[in-house]
Amino acid sequence: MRFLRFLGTVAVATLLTLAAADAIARAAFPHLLRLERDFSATYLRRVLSADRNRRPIVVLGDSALWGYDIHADQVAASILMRRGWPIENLAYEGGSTANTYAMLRVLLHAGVRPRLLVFNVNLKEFSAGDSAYRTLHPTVERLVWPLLTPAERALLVPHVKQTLDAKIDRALGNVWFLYGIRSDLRDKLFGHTDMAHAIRAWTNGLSGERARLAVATAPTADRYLGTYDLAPLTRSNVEVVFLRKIVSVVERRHLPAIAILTPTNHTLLHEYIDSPAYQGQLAYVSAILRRAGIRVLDYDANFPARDFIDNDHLTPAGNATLAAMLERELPR
Amino acid sequence: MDDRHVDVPGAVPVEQVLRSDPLYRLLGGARLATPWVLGVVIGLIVVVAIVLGPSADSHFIYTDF
Repeated sequence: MRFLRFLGTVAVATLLTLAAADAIARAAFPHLLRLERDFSATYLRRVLSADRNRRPIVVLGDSALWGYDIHADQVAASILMRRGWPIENLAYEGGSTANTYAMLRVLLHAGVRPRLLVFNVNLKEFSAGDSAYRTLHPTVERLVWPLLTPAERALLVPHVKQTLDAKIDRALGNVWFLYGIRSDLRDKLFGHTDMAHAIRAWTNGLSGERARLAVATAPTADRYLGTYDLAPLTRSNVEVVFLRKIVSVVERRHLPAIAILTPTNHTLLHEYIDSPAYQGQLAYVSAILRRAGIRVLDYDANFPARDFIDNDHLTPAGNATLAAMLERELPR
Repeated sequence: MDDRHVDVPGAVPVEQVLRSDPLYRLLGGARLATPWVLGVVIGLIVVVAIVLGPSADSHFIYTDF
């Protein structure tokens, strides 16, 4: 009996400690400038809940608008936020039109009513060889799956695990905030997926490995051989299907929307994309968007090579230029 | 004869030794504090494991891009 009382006291003390840590996490975890790389359903739900009443300008899209390889405060959307625009940047690394459609469905289902939707369309993602083709971010997949029709699901390759431990894991994350938000927390604290990755990055910096890796993976034209599939786009392309679905939702919900044709490094990719076939693809997606009254900002060839990190990711200076260009298009 | 108690000349009672320890005094006596301290320590270990743990335990890892 005494031992049971001992165990009970230990359990109560443990639960009180976890509850206190959870309360601190709920109160202290900030509203981020952009989603973390491994953003969780817990964090996304919290953001959408906060956005329900403020009608933000919502930015959707891929790593080009998310801000690949630059700090969150250097991203065009963050620059506009600092200038007073009520922006919610829900773009993420690994995006695509399928992902944009899925995120749009999730945010509308959560009751968010954007005052303006800004999203990018990136032609490289229409290639079946792209890693994002037919693939949703696991968090978005998890939240949107019940909202999709069987036909829509059939177009995608699901990645969310359905094993018992994965289900327990998700259930735990749903009721325990600190546990649910752990991937965002680690990304925020360490700037990497977890502490182990942060330590490895630090030691790589000290040993010179990072510099060697940067030289070895420098963005040269040959790395992008096959990145863009310039076959004419048709309705059988999954990204085209989801682009049309975005357009359909925008029309049905009467959402003001701006589509950006993603800035692309034509100097680097000259031999692959400076062709009538590429221009034909741009014209094809632009026509789909314009038919629905969506404003198309063709920034495809608007940036010099010095504004790019690689094929389609802008430097901080490039993002500052993009922010200035976008600001002229936003309704006061 | 009581074999549970042996007087050793010059020995200091355990309680007296413990009471001279600042940590023991801070915890208010081991008998009272142990389960509570143990519970708090377990809770903190869980929190630290969540924060510092490897992301291999996460099912929404997405680093292929």
